[in-house]
Amino acid sequence: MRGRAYFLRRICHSLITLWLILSLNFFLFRMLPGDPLRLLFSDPRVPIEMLEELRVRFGLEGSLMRQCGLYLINTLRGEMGTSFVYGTPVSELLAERLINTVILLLPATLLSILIGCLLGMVAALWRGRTLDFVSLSLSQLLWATPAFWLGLLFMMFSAGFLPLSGMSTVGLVAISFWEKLADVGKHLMMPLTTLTLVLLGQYAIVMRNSLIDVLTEDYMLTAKAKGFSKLRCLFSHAFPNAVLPVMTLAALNLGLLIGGAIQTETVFTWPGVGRLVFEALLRRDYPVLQGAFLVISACALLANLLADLLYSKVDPRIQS
Amino acid sequence: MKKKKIFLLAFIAVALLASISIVYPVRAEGILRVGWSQEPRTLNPMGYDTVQAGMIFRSMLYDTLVTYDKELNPAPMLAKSWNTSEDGLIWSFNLEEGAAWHDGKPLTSEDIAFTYRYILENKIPNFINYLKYIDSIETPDKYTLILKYKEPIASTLFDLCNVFIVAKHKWEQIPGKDAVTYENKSPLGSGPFTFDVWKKNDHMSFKANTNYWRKKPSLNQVIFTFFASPDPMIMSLKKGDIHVIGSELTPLAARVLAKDEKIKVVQSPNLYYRHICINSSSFGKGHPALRDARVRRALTMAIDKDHLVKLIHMGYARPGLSVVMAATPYFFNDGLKRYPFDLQKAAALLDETGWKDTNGDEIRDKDGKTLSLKLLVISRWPEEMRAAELIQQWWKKIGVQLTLQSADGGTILAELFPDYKHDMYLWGFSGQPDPNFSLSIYLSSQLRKWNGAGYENPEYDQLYEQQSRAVNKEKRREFIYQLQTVHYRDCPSVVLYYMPALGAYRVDQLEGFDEEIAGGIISQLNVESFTGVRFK
Repeated sequence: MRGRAYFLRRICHSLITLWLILSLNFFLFRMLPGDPLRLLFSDPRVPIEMLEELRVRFGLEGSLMRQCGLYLINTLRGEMGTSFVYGTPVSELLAERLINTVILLLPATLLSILIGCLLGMVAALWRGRTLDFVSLSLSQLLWATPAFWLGLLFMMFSAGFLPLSGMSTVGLVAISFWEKLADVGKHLMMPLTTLTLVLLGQYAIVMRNSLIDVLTEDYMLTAKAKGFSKLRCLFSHAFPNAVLPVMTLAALNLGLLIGGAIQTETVFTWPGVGRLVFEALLRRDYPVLQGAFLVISACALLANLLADLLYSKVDPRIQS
Repeated sequence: MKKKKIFLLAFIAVALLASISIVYPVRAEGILRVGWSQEPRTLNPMGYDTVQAGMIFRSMLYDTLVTYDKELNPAPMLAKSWNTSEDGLIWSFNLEEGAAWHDGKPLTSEDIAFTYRYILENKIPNFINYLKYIDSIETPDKYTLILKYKEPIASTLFDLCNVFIVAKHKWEQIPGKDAVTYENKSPLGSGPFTFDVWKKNDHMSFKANTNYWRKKPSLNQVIFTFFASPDPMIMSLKKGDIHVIGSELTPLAARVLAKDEKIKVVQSPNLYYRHICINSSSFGKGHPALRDARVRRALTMAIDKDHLVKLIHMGYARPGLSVVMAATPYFFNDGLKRYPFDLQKAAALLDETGWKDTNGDEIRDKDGKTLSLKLLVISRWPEEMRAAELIQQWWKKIGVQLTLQSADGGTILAELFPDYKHDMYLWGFSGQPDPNFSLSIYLSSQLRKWNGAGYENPEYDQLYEQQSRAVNKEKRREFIYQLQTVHYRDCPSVVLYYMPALGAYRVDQLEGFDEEIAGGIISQLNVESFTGVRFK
């Protein structure tokens, strides 16, 4: 089957890329100046013997090539090591943070695609009119808006109504599961709105331009000539063709966002992956950095792989 | 298509529902909520390295043999009284009898002796310098402790204020080599609060110790909430989600909050300054001109500290002078004559050293080397980059070219050690109530350790040695004054400004904070940061 061969080839490519990332990953962070042990124990009174012992325990002794070999072997075994700073296994740290990131990211992505596409469609259908102008300007404005700024703005105007930071209220006593869920939902509202707004602009713009292209195609005229309703023309003829670039964009974004929602996470103190990476970078916490980058790259690859596969479903021409 | 639509509708419905069902669950009484933007890395007293951890140990978890009073003088704590032999070598302490660990076991002289021995045997870096002159430790009974010293040490009581006592029955199970990295997940202390829970990067909580042997807290619980950026923290205080922000407000935030009548902004003295450390080491790779004290002095004279205080810190700081903290007035030599900000004098002094502009490019040079320097600026405080830019302008006027580089702590440390590759760096420095530590970082024995300036001066080393042996308080102060004079003359570092601790709390709900003590309303030097606080 042609489809299966394509599928296998794509997976092979992804695995090769992942292997390359894995190897680069190791050297990337070691190129930064600064010794993690010195940062962890910045007190110069720490005796040299103690530092050397810790160096061995952290796996920072011996040649770089040997360390790299160990790192690759361990990663293949599924061991990502232990954080220098927190002393907890990286996999545990990442798993917890990844869930938090997904709780924020998934709804934000879906909502922004949905609203963005609608906005783009409206703009395309009323091309050149006031509605188009408004929706296009709004999209461009949102696209250019930094998340931290928008976040702070929301905070200023929602004071007293929504919680400003964190994922849940600390110190609540005797609350049920549903109240807990509502509490998290409440905390989610502002970061979710911020992230959705910041993301949706680009989807709207891409959708609009892509749809405008499609609407002028001959087959659209044919469909109209066949007497199909306007809505049917739009949804079953124009939309599937126009949605391809949006899918590419979504796939690219999803990969980037896992580690890149850092502005939103920082403003709202949302304990996600982005902030974990940032803090690990300041401390030169190699195991966390390597682990996080591996996971982020894997997510990016997976998102692209999925997009490619979906592409071939939506547009069968791609397979050949 | 239809299925998809239904799915989307359902999704929107759920999102809307979540936003509507805003519930307000009951909040427990007597919970003090504190906002902070930096968490401790660890709650292990043997391995801690942050002000935040020190604050928690001192005001919540652990007791010390003696402690600081509000004027930062040593005062009784576990030791209710003590006496010294005439030669200053033998100290005997009478201990309180009611002290107990959080698990109910009594805290006795055995625990204190164990802690000191554990530190000495394992050379625990956090505390070893406070105890290293102890020759032997004796415990004639459960409530008497005798320390015998090798030589008389002027700062003995100050030193003992800093060593947190740990439980023998817990720590004897932890091998010495693991002491520093030990995670100490649930610290066993003896202080006014017991450890409750710590969710990293989220919150940390403590419950009142209702059996505490000293003044019992009136609060039931204290929760520290972590904020990844400062603005939301300030808004949370205004909104009432948190009650207090310790000593980490920026001048701008302090100004904004001061306008709110429900909030009181508190400016307290602090043992903290920001300085420019100049690499004068004879062996390092810094600019050779900096080895000449006159060049360093000329550079100091070309910094308008008053202007920086006004412009960068909005007046919430005090212009720098000596390396001893202005917040310890007894030891602070305010008789030092400040160099006036005088570009002409500075230029004349540079002329004297032979660094002159010979090729008309407005940058001084000597033997084919130009006087162009690089300043590393710690990236954590963006306002210091602005200060550095002003300094750059002033120095340009006296023919010194300065390039600036923003760098994180790791990068600066990598420049410093072991080769002293830097010219100079701008960073902060936290001192202690006893001036020993602030003064010790310019000792030649601290090269490649604390001495980031690479300063070497036998005169300074000797004066330091003399002050540390001077058991007579006034005599000691004489030496300490002289040390400050030598440092100020040679300028191995430029103290830019002493910064206050700026904090704020909800004055409409709370009372009982200590506002005068060094370190601010939540201070790592105040055992009673939380015990006096109560809701109105």
